[in-house]
Amino acid sequence: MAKWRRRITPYLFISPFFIGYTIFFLYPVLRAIYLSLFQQVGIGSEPKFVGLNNYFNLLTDSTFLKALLNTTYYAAGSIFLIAPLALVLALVLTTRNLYGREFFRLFFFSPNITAGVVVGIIFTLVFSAEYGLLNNYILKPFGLPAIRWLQDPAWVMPAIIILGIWRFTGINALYFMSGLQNIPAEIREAASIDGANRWQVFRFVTLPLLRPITVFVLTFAIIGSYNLFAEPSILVGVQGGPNNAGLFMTMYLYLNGFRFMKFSYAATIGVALAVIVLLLTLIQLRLLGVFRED
Amino acid sequence: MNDASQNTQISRRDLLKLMGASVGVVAAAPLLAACAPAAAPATTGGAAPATETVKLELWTFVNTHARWFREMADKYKQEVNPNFELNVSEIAYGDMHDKLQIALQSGGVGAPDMSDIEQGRFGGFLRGGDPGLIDLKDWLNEGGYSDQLVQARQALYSYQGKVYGIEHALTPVVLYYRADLWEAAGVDMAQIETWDDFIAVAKQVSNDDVKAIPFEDHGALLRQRSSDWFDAEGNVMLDSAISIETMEQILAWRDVYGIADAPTGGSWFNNDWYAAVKEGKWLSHVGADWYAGFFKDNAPELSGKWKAIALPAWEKGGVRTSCWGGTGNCIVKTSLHVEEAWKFQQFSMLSKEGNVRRYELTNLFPPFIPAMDDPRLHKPDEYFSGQDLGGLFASVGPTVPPQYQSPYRAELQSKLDALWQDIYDGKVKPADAFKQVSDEVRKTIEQES
Repeated sequence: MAKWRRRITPYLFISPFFIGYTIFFLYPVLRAIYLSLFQQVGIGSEPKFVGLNNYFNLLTDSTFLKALLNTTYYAAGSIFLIAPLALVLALVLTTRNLYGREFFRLFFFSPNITAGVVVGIIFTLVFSAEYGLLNNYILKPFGLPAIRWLQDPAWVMPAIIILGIWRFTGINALYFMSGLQNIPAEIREAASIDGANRWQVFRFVTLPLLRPITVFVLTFAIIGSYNLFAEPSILVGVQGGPNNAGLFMTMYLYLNGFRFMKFSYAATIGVALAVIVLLLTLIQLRLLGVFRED
Repeated sequence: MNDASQNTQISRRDLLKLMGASVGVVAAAPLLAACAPAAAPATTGGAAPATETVKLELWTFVNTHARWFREMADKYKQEVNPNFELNVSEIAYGDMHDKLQIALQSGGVGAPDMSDIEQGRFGGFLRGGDPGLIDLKDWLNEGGYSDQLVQARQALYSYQGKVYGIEHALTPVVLYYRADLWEAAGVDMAQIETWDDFIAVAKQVSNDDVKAIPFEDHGALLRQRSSDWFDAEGNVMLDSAISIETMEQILAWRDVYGIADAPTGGSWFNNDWYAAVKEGKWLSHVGADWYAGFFKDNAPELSGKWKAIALPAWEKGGVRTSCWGGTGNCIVKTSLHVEEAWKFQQFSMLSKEGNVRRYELTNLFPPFIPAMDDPRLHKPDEYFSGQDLGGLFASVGPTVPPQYQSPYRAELQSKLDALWQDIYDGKVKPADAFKQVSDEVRKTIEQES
């Protein structure tokens, strides 16, 4: 009896997490997969089994494909613009002789502690075509023409990426900074003594040693991009703005589930979203050589 | 010493075990409770015995509605039922409708007894077989209320012979105009009867910077012409000839007559638009009664400069108003106090006093005919140059057209919203855009039937 108790005790200690996990995560995920095999529309309707029909509909749904394209557009911006910018910022902020370093660190991190909805509202003022900050105070002084950021479908996604740069560069720079601080100065010094110039030290010493952090940053960039909801839905409206140019997959999921009452179709989008994120992350991890044995 | 230390050890271990176990139970208990179905819902809702307190929960997303409901509940408690208690929860627009939907979808778990539902979201509730709301039709007929409410407004909450809600607002659409600037240009707006009249004088006041009118809401102008995006049977009518022609006419205001343009910022509800209005770039705007409040909130410095006339007709003698927006109050089927809720609805939403008080608090002109002539609805409005706006609303009130509800309205609206900018910019013809959206919605309807 005492032995049994001793065995069970550790499980009881970790049980709160697993109970929460099962109810709030595992069950909804399994339920979503189950629901995606049915047709259920509206309140008080009986679900009808339709097999993979919802998935076939998804593949021919032009709005869904548009949302997938938009989201991928943003994810690309996140990986190829925000992440490199964050690395550059981290390098600058770890420079030893930078005056006011602590201030700049706080400054660049602060957008991260602001709620997404607030950011969305503030940026509608930034991007406003007639009276906006960007057009009137940044483009105009350089003699550049005003851009209809939120009305011209071609400019909606660049606008959202600019918002993303403002919002997420700081936090990613913080990750890179922690990575940079873990690289022993001796290794870099040794490389310099061996005749490597500064670029070579960065390219062949710092960057490879930053790999674990880079993997982390890029993985979260992908997951974060495909999960983005609050900022774009405030900026262009949850319907996705002109020509659905700002429609993210999460917004289309919300529209189907809560506005059109197509619960099972919304579940299908959710499952598709999860599969896409999983695949992209695996591809990315492979490209960065995480599965490679060193 | 040895014994004592052993004792403490044991008791500490026991304590930890106990904690571990209780944490697990405590964490799980509310979750499990949340999963359990609520107490068996009454299907017809028997009234509670008179001695017991009747506690009702009401949800709304409008701040002024919440204030009005609370006031009405206090009065109801004093005058009708001393055991009545109403808890009014004010929840943000999106959240409230989402939560209500989830509650109804899961069989009434956590649902309120009564709730406001905005007309744009109401269609969604009709999407399945049963919206989970009480059909008020028989009660409304028996009480004689059907003749007292403007029936066109009730169409919003009626579907397949059932009536699921009572509308708060008449939403008569009128033409607001900058009285100071039009008068300075020597135009007597009172003389205008038709859109042709309007276009003729609008040319005098429009130039490159200042336009007489923005592109206005297609749906509102279409309903003025006794049509809509859906007909009474729920068929998609967006690509009908009159619908396309209406949009072409709106575009012609700019392309042919030079009196209009797309609203600044793309709609009549954004900061750019209000800024441009304040700068005097727009001289008129088509809006419902609630838009009067939008002017006051967003352009308070223009007080005393605006006035309103009935909407210009499409042909001489034609209808001079439309409807736009609205919010209904509904009773949830799973409520244990359906009859009490209905009594409270009668007291607040179907009484002259209730309707007058609501106008005073919300500025929404009531759809309840017996209240329309009350002098408290006809006070001169300072913002609108001392005009009796209530008088204007009441005069066009009886001709407010119906807006037919459809489970597919939200989906159609969403698809259409994505295309307005392209239509405004001339990138797509109204006929093509409307046809595309209509076909997509028809396909959805077909798939689901």
